[in-house]
Amino acid sequence: MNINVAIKPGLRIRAFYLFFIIANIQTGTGIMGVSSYIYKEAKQDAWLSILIAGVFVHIIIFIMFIILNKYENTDIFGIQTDLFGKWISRILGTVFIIYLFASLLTVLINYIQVVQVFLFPLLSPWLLTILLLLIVSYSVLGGLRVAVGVSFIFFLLSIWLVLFLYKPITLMDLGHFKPLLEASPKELLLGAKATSYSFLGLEILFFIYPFIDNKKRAQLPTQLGIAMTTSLILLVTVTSIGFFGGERLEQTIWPVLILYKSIEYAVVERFDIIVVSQWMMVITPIMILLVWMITYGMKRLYSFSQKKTLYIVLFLLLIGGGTIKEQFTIQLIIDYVAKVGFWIAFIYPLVLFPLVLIKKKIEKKKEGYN
Amino acid sequence: MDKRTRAFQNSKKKGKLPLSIEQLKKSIKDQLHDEADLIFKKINVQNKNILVFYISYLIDKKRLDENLFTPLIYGDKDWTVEKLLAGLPLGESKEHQTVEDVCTKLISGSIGIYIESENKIVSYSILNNQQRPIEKPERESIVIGPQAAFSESIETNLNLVRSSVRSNDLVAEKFTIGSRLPTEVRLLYLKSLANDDDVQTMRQRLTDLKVDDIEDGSVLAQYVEDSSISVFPQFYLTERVDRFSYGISKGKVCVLADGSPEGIVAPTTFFGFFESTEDVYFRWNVATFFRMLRFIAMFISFILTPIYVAGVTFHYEVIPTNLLMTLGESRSKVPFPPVMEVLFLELIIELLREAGARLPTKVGQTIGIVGGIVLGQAAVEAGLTSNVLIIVIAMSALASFTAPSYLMGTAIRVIRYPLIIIAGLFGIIGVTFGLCLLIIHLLRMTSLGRPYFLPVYPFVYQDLDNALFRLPFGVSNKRSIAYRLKDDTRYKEKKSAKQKDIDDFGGYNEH
Amino acid sequence: MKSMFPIVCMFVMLIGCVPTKQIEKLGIVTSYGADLLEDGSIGNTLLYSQFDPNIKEPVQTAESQAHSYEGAIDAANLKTNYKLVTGQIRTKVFGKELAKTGIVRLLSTHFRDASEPATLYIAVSDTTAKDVLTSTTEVDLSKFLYNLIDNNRKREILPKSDLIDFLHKYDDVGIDPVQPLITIEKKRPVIDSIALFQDDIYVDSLSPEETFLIKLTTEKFKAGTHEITLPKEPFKEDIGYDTDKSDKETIHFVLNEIRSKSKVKLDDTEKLSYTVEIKLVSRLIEISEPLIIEDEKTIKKIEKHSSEHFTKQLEEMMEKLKELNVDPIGFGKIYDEETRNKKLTNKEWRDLYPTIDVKFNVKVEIIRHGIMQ
Repeated sequence: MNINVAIKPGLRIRAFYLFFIIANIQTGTGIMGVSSYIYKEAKQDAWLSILIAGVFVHIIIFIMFIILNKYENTDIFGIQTDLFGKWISRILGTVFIIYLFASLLTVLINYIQVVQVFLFPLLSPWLLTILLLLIVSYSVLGGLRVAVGVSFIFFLLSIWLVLFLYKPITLMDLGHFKPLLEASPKELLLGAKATSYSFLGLEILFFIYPFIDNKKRAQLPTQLGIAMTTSLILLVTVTSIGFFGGERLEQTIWPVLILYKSIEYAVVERFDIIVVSQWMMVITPIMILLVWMITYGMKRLYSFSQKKTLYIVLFLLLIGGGTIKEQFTIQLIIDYVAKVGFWIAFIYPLVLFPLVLIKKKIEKKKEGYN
Repeated sequence: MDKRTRAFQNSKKKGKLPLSIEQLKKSIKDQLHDEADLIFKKINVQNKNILVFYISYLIDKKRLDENLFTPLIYGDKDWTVEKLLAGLPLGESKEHQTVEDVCTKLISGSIGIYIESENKIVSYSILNNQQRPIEKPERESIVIGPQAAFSESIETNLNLVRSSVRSNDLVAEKFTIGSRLPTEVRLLYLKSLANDDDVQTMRQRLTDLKVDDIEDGSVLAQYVEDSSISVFPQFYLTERVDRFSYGISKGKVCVLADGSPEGIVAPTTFFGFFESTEDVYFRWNVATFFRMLRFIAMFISFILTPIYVAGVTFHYEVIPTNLLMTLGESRSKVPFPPVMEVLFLELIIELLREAGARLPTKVGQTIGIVGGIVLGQAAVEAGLTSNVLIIVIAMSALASFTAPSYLMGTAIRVIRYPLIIIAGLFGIIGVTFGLCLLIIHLLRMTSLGRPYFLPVYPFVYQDLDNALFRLPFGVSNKRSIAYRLKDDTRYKEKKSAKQKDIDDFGGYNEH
Repeated sequence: MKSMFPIVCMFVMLIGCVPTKQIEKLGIVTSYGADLLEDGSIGNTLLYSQFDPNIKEPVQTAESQAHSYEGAIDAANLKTNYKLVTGQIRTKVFGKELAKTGIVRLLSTHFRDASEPATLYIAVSDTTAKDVLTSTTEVDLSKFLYNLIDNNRKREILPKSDLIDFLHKYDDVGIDPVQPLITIEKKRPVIDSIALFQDDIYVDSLSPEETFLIKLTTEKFKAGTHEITLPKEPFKEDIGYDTDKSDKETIHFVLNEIRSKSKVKLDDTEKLSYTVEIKLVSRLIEISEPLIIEDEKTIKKIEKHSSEHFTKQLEEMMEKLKELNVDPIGFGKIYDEETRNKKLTNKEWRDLYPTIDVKFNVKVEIIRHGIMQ
């Protein structure tokens, strides 16, 4: 396997799309429930936890860029091969891909669950899975450019939902945030960790980096994307805490949807239904990008044809989406993915960082001797 | 002449010159399958037998008499082929070695002249072209601006285009397409502006096209389009001369086919189909408003009825209480599920439209108005549809006609049907699903190899002007950047005026 | 892939039927009323709209008996020929007796079940909910009730009161909800006063006068109207003599375009002493006597007396609230917010509440007095 990848100019994407890719892939179904998770840990100081998590993720992105910039034009698989050799890197890569598949599955089943709860309790999960997979396969077959396009357009088409949070914001009770700074540092950090499921997805940078056209300007949009996610999570959490207050927030699975439930207009009486259906536009780009990452990864690792991988992944997703039904199981899978994701997405770059630095230093010395 | 055409005709029996007058006559008659109006006129000038032959309904008889027979007979010369070519007051002349060559000229309106025992035949084109005068555009009518439409004759059309694009930069490459029934096709573009890749792509597609016959410009467009599965048109077909030359002036590659009043403009973006030349003639702010209105209309057109179906079938809780009561009351008399009701009424509207288009104008108009009112009223009274739905359907039908491109309007009307059905099956989730699929489809499409969804994706913010809205001419001095034209600046920007204070302006001219 | 398409389509068609809810087949429940029956179960009254071209009255009533809200709908379904759905429910009315046993069990479903709406009004009936919901058939009672509460809220006569507000105050420690109380007058439901809840248990009601005071202390007025009654004595000299013929001992003022701000401050966490500062800016539009307002003095006098009037009223109301051990103003919440590292429980606050000391500080300002002097 080559460490560096050569990408045709026609396949490259401009750096500024990274903002949309990052902001989109992170804002999945996680954001619907994140506030109650954080609240459980950090109580009314949850907002501080999010800020801490946000800063941490910014730093991670910074480190990821340092790692990637040490190489000419590579992705995570190239780095791993360079550091650990062919076989270990294959194992690590496979773990990565399995994790990606698992998080893909959580996105799917979580959304199916939301639709069943809010729209059609009797809707067959097979059906919704098929519909979603049709969208996913159709755009993944179009290649990365279409995948990025979908995430760009769908981001613009669904970001307006945020504006409608103004109504719950007016119903907020600021007293719910008092007394300020009551949580201990440990609680704050636990709260920050609880956000991890919502911040997952930044590992796409390790995959998409070789495809970026103007790499020097890639850092800013990525960081802005992270800032966008952070502020969205912050907004949602602050609003939910203000709106619900303690216990009820802890009990609520999808506080965001309840927030939207409190909105009514002359034209639309129940906004949550619009949100749930519109949410399809939020999760499909995530699924598309994740499927693309898996197919691309398999191609890099085992030179497996992308089409074949796509069909296999779709088949597995269909089985998973159709059969996993219990709320409890879904929660369990999500918790696992969140735990594993925390290590893979946030801690793993920190491990790679010193290794890459050392390796590059040794290489330089060698060159010096020669 | 195209190789294939020649090969096709070479398969026929060859007549070799020189021939006697009678032999030639027979040979031509054979070639043209005893065409009844084939006229042979034998004249004898200074002991030379000269045969003039033509198809009588194809040629201009006045010119035949004045410019051919008069000098031929009264000139009283010793006619040879060279003298014929030089000495007759007629323009387009040609020499031919074989009878077949002459015959292909005869059927396109030439006369042939043969001097016995010469080994060449001379032909003159004096075609009496039957064509309708330049008319007002009917399908794409606008209120202000030039009102000329293409006709079926490519010469007239080229004439019209040349006279509105007065530049020696305008290239009109000639192609002949169709192996059995060859048609002349012209590829027009501005040499100094159009992207070479685009021109090359179009040229390639035209030369690679191997069909026996193209019926019309719209057929040609379908042959050379990027994707034939999509319902969306990928090239802008227009009958308006100003729209066509507007395309040329924007550096696009345009195609005209003989016998067709449709000009093809390529590449076109999805948003380009909502652009009317009227937008250029209007003031920018008004134009922007109308452009926005058209986008909204398109959206309404394909989303309104599916939403109605989804709402009434599945999501009663989304509908505001007061509206719900009205809807429920009008629905209560209808025995069908909402999907059927909507499909039924949509069908009526489509029938009215189709009938209106087929019937003579005066009858068609009456059918449209009377049919709409009477049928709608009757359908409600018969309990077949609800009266709220009539409004909904009428609105979406009206909205679909606002697209300046008729093809885009039809595409929008067609995609409504799958959306309605899917809304009837899965409610609002189905509608979102349909929209997602539609957008992804548009993202995947290309027009002449260029992304169809420009300038939104790939996002080119400089190009948003003129695609989604229109800025004043003072600001929009750039052509589309995404198409990588040879020159993307229309004119130099004025140097920014010095910041003036309130009373620094000139005021009124009082002197 | 292309060959897969028809197979996928077939598959979708086979499993793809989502149960429909066509509106003309639904009985859309718009109001719900609950009463306590003698055996402890709940008697339910439902108002629902149905769309039958043969039935003239669009709103129908159904009754049932159950132990829960969802159960009530289920039971009522047996009595109608339409499928009852609750997604459009707008008002819930509770009988007084039921409200005394707590109502939150009939409300929490709105946050638990996604198909229930979250924006609806809650009211307590002075008698039974059934009385209110069957009081008249002349008007669409659901609409009537909804608009009755909605308009009064928008005209700033009622304080914030709807489901979201109720649950919010119920959830928070140290604040109690208030909701409108409805009685029947001339066969029409009318808002009589507001009901005070201790958590979710109905305790007592407050008069419209006191309702204004509650709103004054807990919310901001943006354009309220209020009538105050002051003793005539101090204004005697300003009244035009010729016209002063009435023998009444009081004088009425109507304040309009009231804008108010209030602030509750906890002065001492140990002694639990509070100060409530209220600033009220308004326009004087009507006076029952021909009062001559020539200079600032008269206005100042009115301001001073009405301030005193409000303070006195507020103090009286506070006594009543303390006696009832109901805290709609949320003193407990402020206490909880100000004390660190200690979570106040409901029980603690009920013990502490009667001991609190509240000082009111009302400032009335009249900025205009109409177009006459």
